[in-house]
Amino acid sequence: MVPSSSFAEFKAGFFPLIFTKERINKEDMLQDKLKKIKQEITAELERTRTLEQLEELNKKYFSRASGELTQLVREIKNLAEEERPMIGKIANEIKREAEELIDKVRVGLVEHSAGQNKEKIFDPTLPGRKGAAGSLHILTQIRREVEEIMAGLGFIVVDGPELESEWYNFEAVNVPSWHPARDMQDTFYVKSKGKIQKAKVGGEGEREIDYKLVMRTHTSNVQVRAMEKYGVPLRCIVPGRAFRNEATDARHEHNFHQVEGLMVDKNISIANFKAVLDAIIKSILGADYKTRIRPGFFPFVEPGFEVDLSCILCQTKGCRVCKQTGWVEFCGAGMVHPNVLKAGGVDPEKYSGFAFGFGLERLAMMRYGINDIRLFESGDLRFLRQF
Amino acid sequence: MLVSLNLLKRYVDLPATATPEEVVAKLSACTVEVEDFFEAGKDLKNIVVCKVVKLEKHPNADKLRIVRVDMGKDSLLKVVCGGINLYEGMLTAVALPGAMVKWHGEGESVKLERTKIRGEESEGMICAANEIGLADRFPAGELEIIDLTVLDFQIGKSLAEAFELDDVIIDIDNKSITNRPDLWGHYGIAREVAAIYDSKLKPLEIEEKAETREAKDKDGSGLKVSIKDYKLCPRYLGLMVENVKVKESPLWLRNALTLVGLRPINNIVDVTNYVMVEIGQPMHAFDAEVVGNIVVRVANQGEKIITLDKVEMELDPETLVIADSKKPIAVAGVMGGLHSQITDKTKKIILEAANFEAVGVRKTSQRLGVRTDASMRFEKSLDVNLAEAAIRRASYLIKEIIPEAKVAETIVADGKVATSEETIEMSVGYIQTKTGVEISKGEIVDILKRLGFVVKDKKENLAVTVPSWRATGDIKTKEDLSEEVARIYGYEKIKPEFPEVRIKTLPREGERIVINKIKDQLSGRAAMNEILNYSFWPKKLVDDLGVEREAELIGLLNPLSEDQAYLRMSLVPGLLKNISDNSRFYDEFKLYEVGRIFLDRKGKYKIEKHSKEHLPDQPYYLAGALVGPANKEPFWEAKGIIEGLGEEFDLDFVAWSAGRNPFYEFINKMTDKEKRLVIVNGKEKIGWIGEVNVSTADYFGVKNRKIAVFELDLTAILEAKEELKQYRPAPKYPVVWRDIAIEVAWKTHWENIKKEIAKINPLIKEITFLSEYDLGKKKSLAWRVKYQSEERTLKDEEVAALEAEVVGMLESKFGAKRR
Repeated sequence: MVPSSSFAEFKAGFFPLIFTKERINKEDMLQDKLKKIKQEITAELERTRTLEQLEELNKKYFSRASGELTQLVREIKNLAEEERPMIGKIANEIKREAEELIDKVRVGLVEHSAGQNKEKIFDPTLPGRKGAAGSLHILTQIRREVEEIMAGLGFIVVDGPELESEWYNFEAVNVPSWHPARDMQDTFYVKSKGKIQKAKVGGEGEREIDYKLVMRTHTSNVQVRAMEKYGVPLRCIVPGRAFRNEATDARHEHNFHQVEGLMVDKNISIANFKAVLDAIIKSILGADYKTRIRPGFFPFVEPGFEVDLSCILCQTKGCRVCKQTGWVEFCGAGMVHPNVLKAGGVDPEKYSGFAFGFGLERLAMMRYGINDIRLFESGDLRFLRQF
Repeated sequence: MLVSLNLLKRYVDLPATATPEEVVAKLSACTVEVEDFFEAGKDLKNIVVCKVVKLEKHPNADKLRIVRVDMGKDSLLKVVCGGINLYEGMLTAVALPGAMVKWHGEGESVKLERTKIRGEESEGMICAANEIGLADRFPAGELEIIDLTVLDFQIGKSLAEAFELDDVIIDIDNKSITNRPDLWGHYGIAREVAAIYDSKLKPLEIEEKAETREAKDKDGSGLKVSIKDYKLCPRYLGLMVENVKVKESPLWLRNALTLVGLRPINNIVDVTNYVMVEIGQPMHAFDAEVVGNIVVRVANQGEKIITLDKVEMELDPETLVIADSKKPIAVAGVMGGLHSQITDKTKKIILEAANFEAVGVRKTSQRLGVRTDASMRFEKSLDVNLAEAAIRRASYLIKEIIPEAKVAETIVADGKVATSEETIEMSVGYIQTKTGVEISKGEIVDILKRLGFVVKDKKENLAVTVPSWRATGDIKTKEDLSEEVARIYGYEKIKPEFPEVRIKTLPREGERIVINKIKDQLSGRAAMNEILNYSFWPKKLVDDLGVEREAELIGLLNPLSEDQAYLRMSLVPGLLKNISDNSRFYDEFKLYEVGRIFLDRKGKYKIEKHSKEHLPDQPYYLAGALVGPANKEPFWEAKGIIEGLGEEFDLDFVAWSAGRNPFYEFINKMTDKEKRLVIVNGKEKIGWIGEVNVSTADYFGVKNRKIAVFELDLTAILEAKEELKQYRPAPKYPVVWRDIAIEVAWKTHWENIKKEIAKINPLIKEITFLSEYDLGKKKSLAWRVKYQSEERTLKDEEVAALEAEVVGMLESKFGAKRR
């Protein structure tokens, strides 16, 4: 509806001031014309009932080429110089007020017409229009989360090769070629086209090493690389792909992702490891989780630990998921073996540290109730789009 | 490895309160990984020993009988049975309602219920051995029920108890004792349990009187043994036993072996196996009638032996064998020969207990592809002293179960007796720092002593002498001792405490930030789904795409199957397979992967810090694949995605000139010859974008869809120095937009038109493509030009003049006509 109070204001406006002087000259004529046109606009606006009529009115008075008000404003330049500012000001004022009023009338008409069409009712319950959504792989998401948390604890994220020398994958982490522990990790060996069997190694203890290449069996291959590159003290994690030459099933995959963690500093103890481990687990999984460590054997650590997590389903009471033990195995860990520190050029008499390694898939499976590890590298959008 | 709790209890006293659950919990908290534990006799519940009292005919069935059995209760039980070997007075087993039985030894176990058979009530079931899982101990013919008469069991006794099966079996994860050769037998585990419970370990009952005669003290009579290679065989002991009668072992022995998963064979072999189960030392017995004096030597090239599993093996000088003067009679530490095996006819045996070097056994076992209970133990590096303990224990047992046997009074031996014991010095402070616990000197000493270490207090330090069974490479350093103390002290008792650290400048992780940015843009703005595929390529793919001709392809030496024969050298085939797999469920989608590919050329990583050799190259690649219906052009969206990345990184396109394919031939073959471009970073060609041609789409099983693909080597982008954007103030003067449409020859490339327009005047700020139309012989192109000055408001006439210049240039240079 047309708001009437505006009209009253508009009519009262500047007119008393303008019409106090009674002079019949050019400027008075122009003032009269302006006054008249203002009345006309007001009157017409009161009769305006549709947007089309409003558009007509707009054109009639305000069109740049032939609008009646526009014409009047152009006439101002014919006035005497001393009169121009005052009349110009009045004209602008009238123009501005008229335009404001037209906008108000327009808003009124639009709202009015929206309420008129009772048959065609807008249905706000129709679904919104979403843009297409992409997704990050669930392992990328969970990996980023781990990286964030570890970065907060001052661990840097280090990358390393997936196709690795036997030296960094095994020897450097205290798994010599004859060691039965090599059986624990079914290794993919890589055909080397070159004829090299042995590679000369310079430096202090000059010697020959086997030039054999493997798909890294763990991301622990970066332990010694990281010590060489960054020195100690060192806190780092190594997320990445690892490979095991074993048949796949719901729990085993030959391509998988691991996060290795390493901290080397002075006087690092088992008590320190327990505290940091607990902090990591609580940050990633939630404060409800408890951890415990048991003896475990991994050649790169001494002592070595198996890390268990409290079973979130039964809160350590024992259920089917945890085979009635109340705990589920989570990762391997331990205090860094002096041979590994030595391989990294670190003096084990001065420094000690801990290391741990867990599977990202395993973490994701526990967290999201995923029951088949093969889904992660299946490329199945029905799986990937859920996250 | 399976461990019997009953057997453990023979060597160590446990508190009455120690339940199997508690023992298992303590073992796993302090020593080893326990995979599982279970009651051995639980399958025999509700099955009892009974006596057949009376046999009657079944009124309605010829092959069935009604049997009245006595099970020690007031009344007899009535059972219908079809067993053909039933007789009155026979002792057998009856399953009562609730027992789990396997009908005729087949299928799943089912719960027995009271039932009527051919109209006659049956209150139980008289069992055949295979119906209650005892077929191993009681081999029988068809329809024969289990005959326990000779065993003289007490009537009414539960079968589990009668067979001494009321045991708990603990399954220990072999991996967790890889470094603990001393734990590969019950006695070693008992030693741990004794340490954990602070209880006493009982001595083994062994033959003590026999004299051990070293080979060097020759006396010319009896058995002779000699070692030719003391490195591969540090110790060898032989013992002659005459007048043996080879037969089935007594029940307790058969039971003991069966409980820990070994198959009873005969009394001699069972004794050797039992000793291995007890103390972890593998033994062997030869038929002394067919072998002469024993020599331990490496095999000659081409020598052959048929082993106990009846396989002929060809030997070489890297294989250590036990031989007599003529030929090898056993592969040392792995398996005995068939020729000298113990048979029913054997009267005279030679018992062997030896120590073989771990790496040698391991290599032999790998070379021959045979892994046995013996080789598994030897390759862990056994205590040299264990061999003598084993042969004395075996001697003791043989005298017990074969009283008539004549056991030689002399054990014949060659090699060293281990005497050198390692001593490690460490301080109490070291243990406290390493564990983070104020553990007292007294407690440290006590724990070590319980584990068999000898500890001398040298004021500042403790001098810890390692017992022979741990001096096998297992305990060498103070770190090793810290584990011994900490695990018995109890990891759960160590209070968590955060480390104090010094803050340090951290390196900027540029590569990770860039990869994150790329993924965010693709998964966000481009609405793509991130995929992770295997790093491997199947052989078939390589063959079919002709990739094997690419010099940089890398193969796996020992793939699990042909599906993982090679390392991927492009991410694209994986994505095409994903498209094929997903197209059953989705019509239009967009995938990408960021991952390493592998190329046989010098990469950035070294194989060792000081070496000159480098690992093969393994750059990070990015690939994307977009699939849509045949009437759409996903190529444009793919290109748009790269252009989007180009806003962040330095990326541009150049033509993929015919005949000069910058990439691998298989990629050339996969893509449409017109719809493709090379992606450049600076001047370097780092990738490509193209439509997958029909034959390739068809190969991957994608029909009636169009697939656009891009792939980039990210190396240059990841290594590029980050260029920070510089702020520019927004322009002050207004913009003038003008649209132009022209008619031009099909061959004219938009990119060239755009370049020429841009050259005309710096007031031309942007040229935005609008559309391309088909005009038959020619095409129409339309675009919008942005004119803007940084110094003034442009006049209409000025813009019109520039526009005329543009049109003039188009006419003269491209033969275009304004529409």
